[in-house]
Amino acid sequence: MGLLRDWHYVEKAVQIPALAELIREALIHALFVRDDRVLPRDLIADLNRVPPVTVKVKEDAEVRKLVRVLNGQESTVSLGLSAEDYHYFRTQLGVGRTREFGVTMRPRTLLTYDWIVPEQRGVQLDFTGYAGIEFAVDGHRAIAQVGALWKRLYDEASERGHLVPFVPTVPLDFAVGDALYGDAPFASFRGGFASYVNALRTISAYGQRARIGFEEVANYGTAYDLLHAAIPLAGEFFIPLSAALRLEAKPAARKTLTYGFDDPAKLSAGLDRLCRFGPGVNWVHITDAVAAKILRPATPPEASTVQVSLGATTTGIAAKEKALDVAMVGFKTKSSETPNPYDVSADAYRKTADTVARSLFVGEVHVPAKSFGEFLGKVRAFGDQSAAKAGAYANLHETGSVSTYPFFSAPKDRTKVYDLSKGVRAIVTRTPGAAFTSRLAHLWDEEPNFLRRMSLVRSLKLEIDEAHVVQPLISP
Amino acid sequence: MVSYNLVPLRRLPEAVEKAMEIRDKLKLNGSVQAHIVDTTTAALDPYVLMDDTKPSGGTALGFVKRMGDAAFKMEGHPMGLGLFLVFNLRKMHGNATSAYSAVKGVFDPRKKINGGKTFEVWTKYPWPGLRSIPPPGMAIGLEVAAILRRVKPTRDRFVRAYEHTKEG
Repeated sequence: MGLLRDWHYVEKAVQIPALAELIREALIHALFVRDDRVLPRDLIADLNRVPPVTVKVKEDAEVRKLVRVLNGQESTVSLGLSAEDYHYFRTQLGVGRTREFGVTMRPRTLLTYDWIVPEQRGVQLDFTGYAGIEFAVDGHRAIAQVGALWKRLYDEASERGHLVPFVPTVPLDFAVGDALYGDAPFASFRGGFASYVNALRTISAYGQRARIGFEEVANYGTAYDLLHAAIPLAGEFFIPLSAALRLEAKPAARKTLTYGFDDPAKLSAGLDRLCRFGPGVNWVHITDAVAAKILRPATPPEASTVQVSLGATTTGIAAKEKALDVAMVGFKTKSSETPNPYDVSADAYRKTADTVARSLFVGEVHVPAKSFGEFLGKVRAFGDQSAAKAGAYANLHETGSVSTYPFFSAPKDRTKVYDLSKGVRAIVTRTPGAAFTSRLAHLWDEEPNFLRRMSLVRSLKLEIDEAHVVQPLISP
Repeated sequence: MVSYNLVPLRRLPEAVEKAMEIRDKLKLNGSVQAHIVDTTTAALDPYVLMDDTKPSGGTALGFVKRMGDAAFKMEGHPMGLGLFLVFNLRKMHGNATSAYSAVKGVFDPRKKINGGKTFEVWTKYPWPGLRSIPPPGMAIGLEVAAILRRVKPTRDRFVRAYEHTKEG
């Protein structure tokens, strides 16, 4: 979601002689919170330019044609617009002047915040209406268009005997595409969203249909694994239109077991043991008391709640539950009746998502399972200090890492987001083995190897998107 | 010699049949192994014996080419894109091929790492025109090997030995 553009912009801005005195972080602060007193006029102008044209996509041919127009291969006449729209399109974009036009994808739901440098007078694609889902009848696969809602995919897959293995750690009403050009945190116990993507159907910067990966089979051994390299930043290289997803068979018996913990040390130890649990765990969702209250207002929350989705045969599920109880030893309460955030009606899910979305999210923190309880305590204390009550949603991975999304009950203004992000980063630097990933965290990072990696990714973008169409980079 | 391929799980029985058919057509001795990779994918790894003591031994390479083509027809793909299978790159990735070359260009601009094996074929000959050959050249070579293998009137000694043991 425009990470490379923001990163490139900051990299170039610090080289401007007038800004060379300003330390990098002060510049990022000024750009992020829009402190126009500090910024030169040209930079303010860049930040004010937004894409004036939004195209609601209905079919991929439209995107192909649009890209070919934007990269100069075809004229605007070929778009077949009405006279009024034609005039609007040309004047808004400034067609005829010697300038580049970019195209950007608008995420349906953003967990954190928008990019800093907007697409400069280009076109924004709205995929809300491009939301078809095609399930395979002879296997556990689906091809979901990027506008398809995750919840719809989840429910329809279940009706057809499939299981969508990945769930959004923060239960917002995300579309599938939000994981490709937004910040949707889809994951399961066994892997991240990318591990369930067999292929992406995309449009290249030259307006060609380009399939990355294979729709029916895994992508191993086919030259470089471009698919999994590109997925987190797919919208920087191509225009993703659909994702071929690997689903699983719906297990004969499923159960959501809810464990309440009041001791952070016992919680951490339980999660650490759970990482070594064999097959059968679909996802492990963790909430603190604040998050639990948002998800289940009627249930009195424990200090921490761990929900484990188990899937097994009808005869095997009892044994799995017993083994799980052993792994989670130290819990204060246990229930098999508490509803999980995902297996509810679409209306109820949306309603909860609306409440969840009111919180201020700063990004993702990877914490070793062993330190999760301690980390949660630190975030809570930081929230209290900042007059912004803190909470967290998290997801345990079998690798022993907990993917955590801290949130704060605070107004979503950019200054607050910046300050709270900084506070979370400070906690993360004091937590061994933890890592903070967010737009701001990436921009702040000045570790030489990280900068080298980012520079390689930027070169890759410039090679793949030689036409400078897909979220093109801009320099101040 | 092993041929690694991924095929859709639903087409695994067909893929096993096809591997045996190709093996028999090329008069080779070998076996078919397969395993499940994930909920959509099966790995098919048939292997055949190659008699590298005879000049005709190399023709067994045609088996790998034919198996790769069969995997493509079944919506799967062969695995690996080394020197001999570089011509499959475009078949695999279609319009996205240039994006794969971009990865190589960015990470290894001087082609120092495994050069001449993924996007082009380098030969050991230093003369212009022969220094590198277009990838389809390898495809033609392997196809010729498969044809030679098919028309070879005698079976490999491995096959003969195996049949002899079976009869005995």
